Amino acid sequence: MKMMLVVALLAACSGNNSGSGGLGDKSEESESGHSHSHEHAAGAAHSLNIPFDSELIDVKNSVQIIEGKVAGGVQRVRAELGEVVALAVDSDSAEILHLHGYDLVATIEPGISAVLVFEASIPGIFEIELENAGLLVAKVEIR
Amino acid sequence: MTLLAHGIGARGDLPLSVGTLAVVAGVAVFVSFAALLTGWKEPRFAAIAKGRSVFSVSPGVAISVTGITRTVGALAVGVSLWSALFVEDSTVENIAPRMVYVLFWIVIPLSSVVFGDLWRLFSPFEVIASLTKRFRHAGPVSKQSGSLYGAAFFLLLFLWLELSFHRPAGRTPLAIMLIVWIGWCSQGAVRGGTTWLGNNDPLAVLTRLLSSVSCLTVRANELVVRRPIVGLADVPTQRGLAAVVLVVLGGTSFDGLSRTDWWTSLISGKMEWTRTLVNTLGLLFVTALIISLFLGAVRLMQRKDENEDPMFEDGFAISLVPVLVGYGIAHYFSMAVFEGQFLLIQASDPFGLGWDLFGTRTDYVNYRIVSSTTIAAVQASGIIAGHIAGVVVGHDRALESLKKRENLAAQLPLVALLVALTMIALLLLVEA
Repeated sequence: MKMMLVVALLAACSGNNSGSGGLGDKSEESESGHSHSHEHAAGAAHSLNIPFDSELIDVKNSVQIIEGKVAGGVQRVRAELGEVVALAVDSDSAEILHLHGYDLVATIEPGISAVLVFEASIPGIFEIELENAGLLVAKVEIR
Repeated sequence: MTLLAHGIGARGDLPLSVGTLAVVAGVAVFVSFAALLTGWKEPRFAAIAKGRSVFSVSPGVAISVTGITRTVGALAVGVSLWSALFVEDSTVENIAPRMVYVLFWIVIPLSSVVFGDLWRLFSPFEVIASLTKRFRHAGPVSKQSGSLYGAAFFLLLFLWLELSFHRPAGRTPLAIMLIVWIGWCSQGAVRGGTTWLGNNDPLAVLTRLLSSVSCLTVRANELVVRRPIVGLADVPTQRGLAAVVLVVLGGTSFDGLSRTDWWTSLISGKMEWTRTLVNTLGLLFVTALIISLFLGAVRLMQRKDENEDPMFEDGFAISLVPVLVGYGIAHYFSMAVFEGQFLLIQASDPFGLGWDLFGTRTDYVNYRIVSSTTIAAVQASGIIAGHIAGVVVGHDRALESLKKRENLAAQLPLVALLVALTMIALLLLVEA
């Protein structure tokens, strides 16, 4: 058993959404901690801090951040539309991980990986960054 | 903190496939040379650029219409400035970043390609020009005011803010930019009126150029219809025209380059002013490269023609306008569609006071309103149509301004330039 922080967006936003998957960039918002009408978009993401057996979810993509640098450079994660994507990120310093577009946020602690799990419901290219350092970790390409 | 160019926008377009690249590039090269070989031998566009009037209104109606549209324009500029000054510094709460980077910079210029010069219709600075008309000297407007270098300089500054500065969507840089723009245009409108605005307001210069591609134009209270792109032949050749087109083309190309994995890896980990520095060098390098390609080709053409026209290059800049439109569509179509929705959501509550003016406050951005396939098709068609139109316009201008117009070889540098620019655009879209 390994401690992991799992952030999952397994279902898209509720309602009659033939298309709405998420909202635009909310990074500034999460910094200020203030929001108004758009907050329910982020409500679809659940942050769980649970003991988690990494064998249960097939985490194909993992990224390591060592001393403020992404091992092997900025990663590109490719996924098909509709696929459930799982991405684990390790870091040697505490950070906040943010997937733009889908607006998933997870905290990383040294020794505790963050795992982003989400359904690839919006096509395009989306950036995953470390919120505090402003470091680009990966680009998620969904087609 | 966000890494994306413009500071707004959460989604990037998928790369074009290599297959699309091959097809578009092949068509571009083929059409370029076919146009040269089978092209017409006499200039045609200047004669039909005037178009025909289909509709005219009385001066009173014209004043009423522009009164309404320019009030809307004043509101848009005013709301942007107010938000940049007083509303929380956030791209979700504050409407200023999207007003500037989506409405003013993308939606108005690209819509002007279709509907004619929209900024002329909405510009609040035109109101200042009208109101102060009676106080200005009725003397002839000096030829000095006809240079577009001032507008080119401000466009470069704007592109630097958008693409190089590390906090493009911050409210302080936006407030400074808006104050400089409003101040510059207001004093100029008072001193030089509508002629000054047409040559010095950077947005007015850009929309005037782009709208010359449109089938629609307004002349003396008359709605004029003409064939597409022929209006370019009617654009006056002014000093600095080439500079305006090249600066915007350079900026758009750097925007493309900055989305490649190569560039994002290069600036990864570089923060704040270090990032600004690297992106400034990148912007200047790409712009310099585009300028060199253009000047190299046009000067070569000029030498082959033994032509001594001092404004030779500005005359040929019009052939790059359709290319610029193609670049603009390819890079910003999806952004206009998606971020435009966000702008509509924000417009319901522009000051974060809980208003719901248009009933859109709680809407979501629908990222599936256009499919990735549609976006890719629009990108490829934009590039190819821009290229073909550029070749055609360049050929027409060559027949007009070259002394040895039967010498087709003299036009080869221009065709090679257009092919090169199209290849650069396509490669950047494939590497996105």
